[in-house]
Amino acid sequence: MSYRIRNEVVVLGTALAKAKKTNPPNVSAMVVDTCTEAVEASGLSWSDIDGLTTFPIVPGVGGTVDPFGRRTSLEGIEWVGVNYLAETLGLHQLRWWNSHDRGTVSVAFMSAVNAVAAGVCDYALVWKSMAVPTGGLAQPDEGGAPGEDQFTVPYGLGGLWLPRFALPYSQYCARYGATREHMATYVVNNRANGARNPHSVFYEKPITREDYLNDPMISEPLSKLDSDMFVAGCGALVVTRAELAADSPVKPAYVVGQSMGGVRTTHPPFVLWDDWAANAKHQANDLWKNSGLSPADVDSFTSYDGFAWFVYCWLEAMGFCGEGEAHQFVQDGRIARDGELPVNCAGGSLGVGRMHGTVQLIEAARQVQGVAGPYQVDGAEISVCAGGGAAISGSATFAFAKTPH
Amino acid sequence: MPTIQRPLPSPSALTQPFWEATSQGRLEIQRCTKCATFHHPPVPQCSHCRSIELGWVEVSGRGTIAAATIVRNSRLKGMEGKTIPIIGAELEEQANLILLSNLVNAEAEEAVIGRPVEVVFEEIGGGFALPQFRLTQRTNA
Repeated sequence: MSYRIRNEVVVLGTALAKAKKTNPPNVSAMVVDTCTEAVEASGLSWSDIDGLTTFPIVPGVGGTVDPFGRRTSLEGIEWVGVNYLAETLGLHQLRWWNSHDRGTVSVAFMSAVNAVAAGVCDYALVWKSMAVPTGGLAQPDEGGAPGEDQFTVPYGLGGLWLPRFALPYSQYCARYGATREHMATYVVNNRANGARNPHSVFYEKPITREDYLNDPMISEPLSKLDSDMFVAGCGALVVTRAELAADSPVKPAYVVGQSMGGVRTTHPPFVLWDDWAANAKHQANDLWKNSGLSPADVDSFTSYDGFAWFVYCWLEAMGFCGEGEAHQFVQDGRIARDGELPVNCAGGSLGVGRMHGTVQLIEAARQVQGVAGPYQVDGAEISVCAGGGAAISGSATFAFAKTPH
Repeated sequence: MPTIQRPLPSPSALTQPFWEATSQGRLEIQRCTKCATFHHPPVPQCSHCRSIELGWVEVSGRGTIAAATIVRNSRLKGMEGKTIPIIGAELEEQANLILLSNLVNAEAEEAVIGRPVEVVFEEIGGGFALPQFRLTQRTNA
């Protein structure tokens, strides 16, 4: 493996809609507005955009019932895919498009980086939209639990994602002595970051340690504050080749490294801690190799935190701390915006809302562009983004730099 | 008497042998006839040696709690409001051979990683018996 496109691709404009607790009448206008903002922030117009990609999946189910009695989500109302956006905007100039069925927005972003590097298109737009599921929690069909659900749902798994993610975290806690007291520090810091971000659903709504520690258990050791909240929202980024951005008035973020996750090595009905950790390590090792960077070079780290403990997994895999040490590492202000390793200064998923890694990706680009506003890390030149949950969620990692590296 | 109305499994041809065995009080796990690797949930092809000749063998039903969570105030249909200890029971036959299950005949708080468990079967209606686990005094060899 030899990474061949270091410094060749850049992020130009980015845009983030304000995350909201309730859905707009449709997500179509929200997506069009947010993407238009990203295109214009790039100094471009829609006629320049010849690549499109997204990760369209919305978790949970919509309030619409199809002719077969299944709850479903409607394109344009609850989600926006590539065909829909291309047709709605009449993007006849498109040369490349791609839709991803697993993962987070990070996998779509990686495909866009590689598409522009290959030269199959010049300016690719990556976006992610989310809506609040209106159909209620997923419940097994009246006909029973099929597929792998038959080995989990009769035992009380289902309805919510928390038990599935509590199990591997229970292994971490038992092995390394991590407690909710430790995690309180991370969650409170992230909510403080989100409270400073005007695009967060939790803007000006920080929480205290007591709020976290007194939050009712849903699936021990997880409460709802360990999991990101459903929101309606959208984020978008434009990528192009560095050569095309040479005369741009927009400060670019150079993509100086990337890596993608593999698959888990065992297949019990839930993913074990060791599988999460091994997969994250696999991606982290590739990122350091591809970028030529090391953990000491990083000024800002953004980590997927759809569940808070994903951050422990990534901190350890990336080598910011040792195995089993992340719950100690996040203490003492170390991950604050002015700390040793600022983490998720925009608020991540826990502090902004469930955007499947979009906030982390946009923040990472903005940090090295110097346009992160209320969450800017002073003097940030290198940022790293771990864009997904590592093992099952299809994720990719990236390193961005202010100047070619 | 079960106080929980559990969602019933909906077996496929691949999983039918598992539920047939449990309904007769046996825990059978799919095992590759070529390389003897166990698989759970069952698979169409062995991920270890790629054989498609997979059979079913009875296992001891003894294992260890490898992961544990306690669901409070469940929202799952038929289990609303219940406290449910969910465990990953790692069977003694093979590392990482794990059944997701419940701890029964115990307080929920006794679902602690490392404790030895053994299988019991709970009839849940529809002719199905669900493998569950209870604590044992056995020490791990």
